[in-house]
Amino acid sequence: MSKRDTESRSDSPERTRKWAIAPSKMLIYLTMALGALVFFLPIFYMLTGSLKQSSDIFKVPFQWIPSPFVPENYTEAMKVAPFGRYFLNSLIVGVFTTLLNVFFSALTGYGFAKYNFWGKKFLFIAILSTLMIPFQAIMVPLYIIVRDFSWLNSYLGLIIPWSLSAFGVFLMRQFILSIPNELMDAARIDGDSELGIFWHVILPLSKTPLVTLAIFTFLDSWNNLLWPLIIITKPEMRTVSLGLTEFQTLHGTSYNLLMAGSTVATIPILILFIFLQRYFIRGVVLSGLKG
Amino acid sequence: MAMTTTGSKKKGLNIYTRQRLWGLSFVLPAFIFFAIFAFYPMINALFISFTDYTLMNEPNFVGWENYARMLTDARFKIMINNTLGFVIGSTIPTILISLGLALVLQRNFIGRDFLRTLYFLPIVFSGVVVSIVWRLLYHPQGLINTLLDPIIQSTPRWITDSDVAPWALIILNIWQSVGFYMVIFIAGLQNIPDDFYDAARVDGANSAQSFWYITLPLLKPTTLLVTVISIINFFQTFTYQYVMTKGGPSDATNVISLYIYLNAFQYQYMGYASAMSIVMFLFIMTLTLIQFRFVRTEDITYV
Repeated sequence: MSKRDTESRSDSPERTRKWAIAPSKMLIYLTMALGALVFFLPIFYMLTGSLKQSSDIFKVPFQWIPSPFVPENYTEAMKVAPFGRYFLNSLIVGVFTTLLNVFFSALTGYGFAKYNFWGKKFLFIAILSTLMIPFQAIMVPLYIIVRDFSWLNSYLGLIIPWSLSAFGVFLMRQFILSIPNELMDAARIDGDSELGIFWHVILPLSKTPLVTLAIFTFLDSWNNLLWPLIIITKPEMRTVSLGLTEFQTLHGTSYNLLMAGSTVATIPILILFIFLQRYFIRGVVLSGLKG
Repeated sequence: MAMTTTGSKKKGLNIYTRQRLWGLSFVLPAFIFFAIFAFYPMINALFISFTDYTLMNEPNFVGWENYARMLTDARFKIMINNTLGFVIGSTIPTILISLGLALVLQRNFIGRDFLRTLYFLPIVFSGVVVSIVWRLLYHPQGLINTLLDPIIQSTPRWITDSDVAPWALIILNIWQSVGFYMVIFIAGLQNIPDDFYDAARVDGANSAQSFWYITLPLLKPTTLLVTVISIINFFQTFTYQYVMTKGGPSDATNVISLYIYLNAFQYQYMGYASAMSIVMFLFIMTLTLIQFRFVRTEDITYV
């Protein structure tokens, strides 16, 4: 009662002050806006560069708006390197890695959250402990395994080693713990099996963490360079990241084409970001908690 | 109680055993996966680090030779120095900038969400794309030098000057990382209850005082967490160096991850590469264990 009282009293002077911002604050906001512009500049540079004539890229003074406008850079880049194929490869690898990781992380998280069994604590800690392993530490043996499975230059090789993440298991377990057991019991009364409960009760209730995990799995898969670099030697199996890297090595000075390729490589993630920004932010906060 | 209605009808196994078997069957695939793709490789990396394996020959045991080699390998020392320089040079500005951004962008004002989005945006770009775009930005006739030209006498040769190139990579890294840590800081700031600030205001504290005595101390766990995560992430840097500079000029931007990659897959020294990766693992493991401790303190809620 008294709190509301003081609030309403302080409300009116606050309102009149709203438009008369102190100069120091003004300066802060101005710096922020300017900083944001600087932050956006590289992205702007990429987009405009992809639409410029090659000779206009280094034009002085700097050409802020491309003229002439050259959308042909995109078709030209496709001609020089099979970006369409790279794109398709990345899409296939990204989608399957994401589906597998999301499904198995949820299933494993469900097992850990809702069941008791012998060795549960040990298994959980064992899985969690893999978070401590940097990829570089196991990349040589992982390469050997994939080679022995004959998975070099294959989708399986690109997908399977990334099809489950300890972070995903941890994330899903934490969330599923918060789902009340009563909901599961209700499904049991209706004759649902344990796997049926997972499918009909747990998964529909876990949409937020599932989408968050899906986005980050896809992002990691799409952006990964080191792993494709190691196991892919056939040009037609290159992912976008690898294809773009190789393209730079071969055509390092075709800047307009490089910018076009870079833009194409960014589009899927950018679309995801525009529609699912909320989940990106959530994912960052969560990954901050796990690392 | 609901469980007993369905539990007893199958195969005589009692309900608890059945539940246990279900639980185990849900987590077992994951455990097998990690056994094949994490534990076994880790053990194998340790084994290879004591051999002269090159992918072509049968591995021969060479004792501590690969580890001893690190001590005498002048290039390895350069890699360690470069990596630490990159980590330290990136971490401090990244934390200061992202904290500053978070402090301003957690307030309510028009355009706040738009600014947040702009600062966050670099995260969605892949390391490859970012390296390619910045290589062009850093070009002697690129945008950065075009803008700097009227201001300073001789514009830096960003990528080809071995004194400047490490900084060029650090700047690019800061640009791409700040948004990520800003979001973590904003979450940390939002965890501090308003009551604390209200109480301070009642006691007559000004905004500088409440920042110094409330925000900073209560943000300490977040700051420590951000420090550890950024060190872990930056220590593993690979893509920028591989795509933008290939470690050059003359190893000036070469880092430990790139050097491990080169040794394993270019020079075929699997043993030496594995030994270095084991050292790297020990370093990252220590940091991660520290991080897990912070997470626990992070979870404390202010009652």
